[in-house]
Amino acid sequence: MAVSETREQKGLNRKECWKIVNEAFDEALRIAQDRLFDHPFTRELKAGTLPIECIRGWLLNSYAWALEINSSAAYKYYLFNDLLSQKVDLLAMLADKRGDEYATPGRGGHQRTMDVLGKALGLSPKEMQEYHQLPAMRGMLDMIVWGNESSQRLGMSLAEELLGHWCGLWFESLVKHYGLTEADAFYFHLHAEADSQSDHQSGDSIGHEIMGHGQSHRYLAVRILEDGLMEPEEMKQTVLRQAGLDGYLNFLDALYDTYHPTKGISDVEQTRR
Amino acid sequence: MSSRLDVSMPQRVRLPEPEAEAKAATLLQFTDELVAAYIMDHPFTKRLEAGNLPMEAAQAACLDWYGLHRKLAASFARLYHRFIQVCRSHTDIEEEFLERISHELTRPKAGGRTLLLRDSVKALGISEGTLNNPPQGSDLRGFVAFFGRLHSEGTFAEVVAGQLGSAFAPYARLWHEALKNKYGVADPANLYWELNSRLDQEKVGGGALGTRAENAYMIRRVFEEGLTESRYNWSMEYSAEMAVKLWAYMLRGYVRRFKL
Repeated sequence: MAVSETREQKGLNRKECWKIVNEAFDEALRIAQDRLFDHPFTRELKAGTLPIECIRGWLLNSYAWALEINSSAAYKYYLFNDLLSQKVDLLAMLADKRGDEYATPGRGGHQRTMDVLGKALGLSPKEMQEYHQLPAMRGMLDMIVWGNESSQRLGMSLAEELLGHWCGLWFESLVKHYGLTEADAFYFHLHAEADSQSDHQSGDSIGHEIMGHGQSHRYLAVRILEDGLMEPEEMKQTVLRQAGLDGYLNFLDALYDTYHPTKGISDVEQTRR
Repeated sequence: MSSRLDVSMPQRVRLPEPEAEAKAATLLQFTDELVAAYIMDHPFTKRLEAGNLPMEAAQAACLDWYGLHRKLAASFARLYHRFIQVCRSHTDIEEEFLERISHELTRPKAGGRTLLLRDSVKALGISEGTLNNPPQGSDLRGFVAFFGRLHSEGTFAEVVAGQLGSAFAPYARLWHEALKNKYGVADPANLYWELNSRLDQEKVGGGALGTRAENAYMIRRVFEEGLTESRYNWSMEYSAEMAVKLWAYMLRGYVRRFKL
């Protein structure tokens, strides 16, 4: 089988690959969590002092973010299908992820849970669908989607695992401080569970338990190493670079600057400091 | 043979030439104003203009612009294929695309403006190795990806509206002057900036960025032919606005990185 031949050629067995990947992801996750959880946006969200306008702004921008990234992931499944057909474990895993995203917890998948969240925050689906995203979000989103289509690393990323942990904080805070019910904030609970845990209970929509979305990136990284598509050092540097979170932190800055009712600054000023 | 099914789409709204021309002028003016506010008045640009921009900042910005222009030029070349259905029914638009792609790739030498800019970057002391494997910050990657996606997924109207063209000329003039006077970069290594500094004056030869006349023509044709379709959460103005604002975010990156 071509896969095992390649593995022998590179001299890395699966156990060694898992060790390299877990060390790289764990270190990167620590760095990224520090940066994300220490951002004023997150600190105020956790304390319940973040203005509701900033929370609505996050959702307005993130609605199309989720939509475009999730549709792009299916495009990636199509784009790399010849390669995936030679690595059927990856094909199965990525197919599972798409199916889960598109059908759990029900018809319309994860995306519909944003409509529920929006309603609880006073935003209609139409408002979220028609919103023109901030430049900081537009640049970051295009970078991810364009990367899905042009990168050879099959979309391997730290982001889903990281955001899974962040979603847990969102869920707790919205319920504790902002008067949302657990059902209103289910979007965050779903992602906290799907993205940050090793396994994910999909329910009837998929019919079987699937790998956690965050864990799937670690598995992808292992397989990339095994097949020699990346060297271990390159893998480590890629994940560490992602831990910088420059694009996402710029977006949080822009949200704060745009929507904060008292600390906001003008659009022009945002591009200068 | 006429179709027996009545499934024709609604008629496009076509504007007469004077009205279409006025709309084109308005959109170009909108982009000019954005560039004036977000780019020409930016602290980075002011330092460039005053001649006291640190060399490292000039090197980084010039290298980044090379990364952008190289990708933009290559991406622009795809537009003929992307909009082949528009081109087959509007041969004037086809000829415009073909001329601009050809100009971009071959004038004034093989490889076009991309290789001219490469000479500029090298004249600023950037090594061949760095040029071939440049560090790419998230601001640059976002800006590049914006055009990549716009050219891949945007409608004809959105793509035409996102061309910076003549609005880029005042910024290119500042670079041309700064390279000549402050950093001692003479022609031909300064030619990229000199050529682009004339985009707001010349009729043809603007390549991927387009001269004012070339961009005005394309936008006018959008309105004349009713090719104004946009994606659901997009518009021609949004294309122009994002192109300029993502550029401004890149400049902000230099302000932060080099403490300008």
